[in-house]
Amino acid sequence: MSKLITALNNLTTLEELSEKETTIHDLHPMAKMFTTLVYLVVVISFDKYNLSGLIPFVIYPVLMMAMAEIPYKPLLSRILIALPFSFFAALSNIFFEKTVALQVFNVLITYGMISFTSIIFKTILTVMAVLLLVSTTPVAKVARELIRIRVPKIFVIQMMLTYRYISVLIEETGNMITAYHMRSPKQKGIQMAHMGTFAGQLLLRSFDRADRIYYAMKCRGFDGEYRFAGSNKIEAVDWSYMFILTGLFMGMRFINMSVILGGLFGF
Amino acid sequence: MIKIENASFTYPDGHKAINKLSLSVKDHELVGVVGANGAGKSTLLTLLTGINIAGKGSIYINNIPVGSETLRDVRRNVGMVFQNPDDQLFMSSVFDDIAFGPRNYGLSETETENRVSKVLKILEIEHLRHRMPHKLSGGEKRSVAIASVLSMNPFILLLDEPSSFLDPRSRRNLIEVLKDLKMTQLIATHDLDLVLDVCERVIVLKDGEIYAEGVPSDILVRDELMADCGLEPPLSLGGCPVFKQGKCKGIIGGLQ
Repeated sequence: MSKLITALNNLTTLEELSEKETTIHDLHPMAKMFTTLVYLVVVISFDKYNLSGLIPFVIYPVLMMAMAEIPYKPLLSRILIALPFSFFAALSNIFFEKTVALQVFNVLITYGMISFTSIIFKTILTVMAVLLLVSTTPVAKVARELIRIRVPKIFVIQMMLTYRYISVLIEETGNMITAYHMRSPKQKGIQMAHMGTFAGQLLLRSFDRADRIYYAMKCRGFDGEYRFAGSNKIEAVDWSYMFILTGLFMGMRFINMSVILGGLFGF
Repeated sequence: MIKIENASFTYPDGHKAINKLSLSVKDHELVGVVGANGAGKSTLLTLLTGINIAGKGSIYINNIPVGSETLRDVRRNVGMVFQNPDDQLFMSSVFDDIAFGPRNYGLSETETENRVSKVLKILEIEHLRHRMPHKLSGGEKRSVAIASVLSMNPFILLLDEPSSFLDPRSRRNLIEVLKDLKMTQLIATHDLDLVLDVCERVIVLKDGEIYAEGVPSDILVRDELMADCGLEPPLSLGGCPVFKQGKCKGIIGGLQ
């Protein structure tokens, strides 16, 4: 139960962070979305052996976290959720690419090791960028901008409702698990024999709850379309943010800053 | 104004929840609807909002017949506060939740903002403006749920068990708010003390029919009538069984 409550709290932590008032939070959502998109494309476009080229891209999330006053812990804990997927995907590289790329002192570094590290590093950077976007821009504003750039409304509404109903589902599950354990204190988890009934009941209860929420929405004029607050104009500061950062990312994509900096210090 | 003429409603499973019910509620009247569980209180409210449509008979809200074609107009006139505020609040901030209705009815953002600010002030919850609804206390959620309906400027306010989930102080605040609202109100509740405190008229439902109707202080004291409908007289009218049986003889805080 406590794990579920933690999951629910985790779900809302980023949403709470997005309500802060900092320079980054005040930027136009479109500017942040576009910049994040360019960042993702640029980071992903790097060759899998070009680890040194990726390193300067750490600056962006670090700077954003500092300026938006986003604590690193909730972001890092969420990255850990995504990491195992890329870890196992990248693991095979170590075994199949055994050609030695370089030797550091007596340690042989293979191309497989470099590509493995590069994939993990790319995952960290990209997930971090998306999390930063979510924790500096409320979901409703992201949805509004998606509609503005002509993403079909049906997908955006689906996204919004799914996002809302996840917490409903977690709450219902939490209540049912509590009720179950109150009557079977020695039981760890839910017995397999009860699992079918449990899942069925959860489904029915969630349907009922979803129905009530839907009725409440209908009573307040909901006709299948989410209406958001009017979008603000993109100001000069938003344009500057967008152009400077995307320009920087493009520059860093083609000019290896690590090599230049290393050269300056004689490495 | 609400006018119900011989309305009946049967759920798909065959349960007859409302049976040939006729009722008229004047403008600005505060009416309590009481009855045991399953008496038809909540169903009656759903019929008035068009969530369920009466199978027989007719229902009028400000002379608009409630039917599938008139739902949007009906819901513009009627606001319903659901029993569980968690069912009603689903946006990411209190502001957005209260603004949900006005935006759906096409109000400009300035007007929406004015409406939200106004109801936040009326309910004295301005400090909750930017909070996330699901992080609020039960009383706060209830206030926000009421605010989310009031922001639509309805003529009629329907409240389903408004005092459930509330601690005594929040309940008292709610009573004061309901008394101050100048609009027609229909309150379905088990809280007979609230009815006694707030309502001008009470309707006692039994098996989907009106069993008794009148001034709360006349109706709710009738032990036999209350027992017939699975209710007890309100505590404030001496309905407390502990006091009645003389089991409580101590002095608490100077009160005997």
